[in-house]
Amino acid sequence: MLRRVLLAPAILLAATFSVFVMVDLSPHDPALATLGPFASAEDRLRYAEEHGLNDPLPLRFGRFLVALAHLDLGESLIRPEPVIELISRALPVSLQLMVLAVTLAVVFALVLGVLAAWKEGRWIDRVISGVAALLHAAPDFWLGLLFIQVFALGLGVVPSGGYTPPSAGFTPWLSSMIGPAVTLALGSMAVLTRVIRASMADELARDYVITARGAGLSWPVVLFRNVFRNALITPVTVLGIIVGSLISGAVLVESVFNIPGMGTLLVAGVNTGDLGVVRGVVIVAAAAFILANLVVDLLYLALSPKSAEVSGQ
Amino acid sequence: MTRGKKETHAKESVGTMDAEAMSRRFKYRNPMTYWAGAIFVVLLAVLIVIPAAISTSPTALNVGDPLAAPSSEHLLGTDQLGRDVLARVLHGTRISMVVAVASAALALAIATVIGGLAATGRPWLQEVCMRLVDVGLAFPGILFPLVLSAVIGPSLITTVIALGVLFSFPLSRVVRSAIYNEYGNDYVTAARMLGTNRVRLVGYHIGINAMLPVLVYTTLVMASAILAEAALSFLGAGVPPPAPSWGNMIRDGLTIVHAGAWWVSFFPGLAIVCTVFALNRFSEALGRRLRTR
Repeated sequence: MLRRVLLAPAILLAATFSVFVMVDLSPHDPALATLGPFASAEDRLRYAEEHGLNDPLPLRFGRFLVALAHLDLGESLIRPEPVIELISRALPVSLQLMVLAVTLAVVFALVLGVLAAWKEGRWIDRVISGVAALLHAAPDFWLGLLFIQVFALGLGVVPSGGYTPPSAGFTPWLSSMIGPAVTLALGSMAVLTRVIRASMADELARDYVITARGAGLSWPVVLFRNVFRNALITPVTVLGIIVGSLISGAVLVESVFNIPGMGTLLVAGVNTGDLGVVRGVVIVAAAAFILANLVVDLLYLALSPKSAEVSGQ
Repeated sequence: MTRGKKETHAKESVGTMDAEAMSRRFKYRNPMTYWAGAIFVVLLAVLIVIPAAISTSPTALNVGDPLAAPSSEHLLGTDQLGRDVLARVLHGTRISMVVAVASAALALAIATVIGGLAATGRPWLQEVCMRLVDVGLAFPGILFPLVLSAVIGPSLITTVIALGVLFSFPLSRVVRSAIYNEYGNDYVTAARMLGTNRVRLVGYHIGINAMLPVLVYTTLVMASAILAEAALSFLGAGVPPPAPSWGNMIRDGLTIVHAGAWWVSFFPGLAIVCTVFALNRFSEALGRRLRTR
């Protein structure tokens, strides 16, 4: 386990390096982008010399890392702000969206997954499993468009896009966030529901459940004391995957609902060739993802009875 | 799924599959699998028949008739440039299928090399391969293809390469564990005893047996690739217009959904749902078959 903890920063460093190299290999010339297309060749050379663009790759990467340690991700080529400023404004918005989405996904998946396992093979299980399989196959940006179509344009209960900060009041904030959060949650909810259903159904079929019931324990006692503890270990392991798909999905959902988060920032960077912004956002996202996976690993270790035995020996 | 597991239990407890388990096997076949198969057949038909059967061009502009609602003339309506949505959805099938097959094939090729080395190479080489996969998996979802598209510019080729590399990382792990799982079997010991060299052992004896779980995962990769291509094209970083891709059609629909023209984005999305659903089901059915064997 210690190995995992030590490995995480190394993987992050390697990931940072690969993004740095990819951006570096691009045919876009930073000197040309900053000085404009009419700059003379001498000016461009001077610019490259002054900013150390001609130095060898390891030296430039080292300089980038030192700047990174000072929370400096470089300048945006297009906007007149450093990248870190842009990110520090976009990150809280994305975090709000994701926390809301994770909460929705976990709560609904728990209810639906347990219900489907409880009524395994009945019509309610078939409906839940079928809908989950369909949602699993649907692109989230398309679901977002459907949401806007039905709830914003059809029923008019929520705005069709845009972001209202929490400082403007809870209700306006929630009504601006509920659409993106639900859209983002649906895909993860589908995956989680299916995992919980399968794991619960397996657990409910075990002998100890029959024994406990036969010994006169009530269902709630059996469920909360024994079944949940065993059945929810497997779903915890997919949480890491879900965080990954949420980060990726947020890029799309933010674009659909016009939410000024990390995703919109990244897409604007990709479409305008602002590679400094792209690099910054991707490094932050990779760091968040690696951290989330580490937390999930630790959580699994804490929950799993097997690993408790091993560490107890 | 649980039904598959019940079969396995029955098989394990009796030793051979008895009549009861046999009848259960045929009785409880999931009807969704048939639906998935049907959708698949329709898709293949669309793929082959389209160029001959559809006279409406997917890129032909019809200036007099922009944003026409679905009617008998345009079954699924037209987009803002007056292009027929049905023709575009049908032609979009080709791009999706090309991306799915090509990127899955590329991912499989890369994963065979990395996963194979990670399972059979010298210890240091195994370590290097696995850490390489770890780094690749550090980028969540479509972020890696987005960077690549920003760096070398969006095109069909960029999309295929980016998705092929993206999915090669999880697939490498599958290849590695598939090979590992075979190592304990008696036939491997027997082949070793007979002095089979390692290349032939892994490439032939183990390869054939390890291939099945890998292929099941590859069908899942195809489904994911279709979703990812749509997402990239939707963001303007995948297949560039005017080529009809389901993703960039939904992108076209994004701006005009507010004007009430829902059909421009609705139908391509529906096509994605059907295709991905079918592929997922197909992969599940295949996986279930393997486990019960």
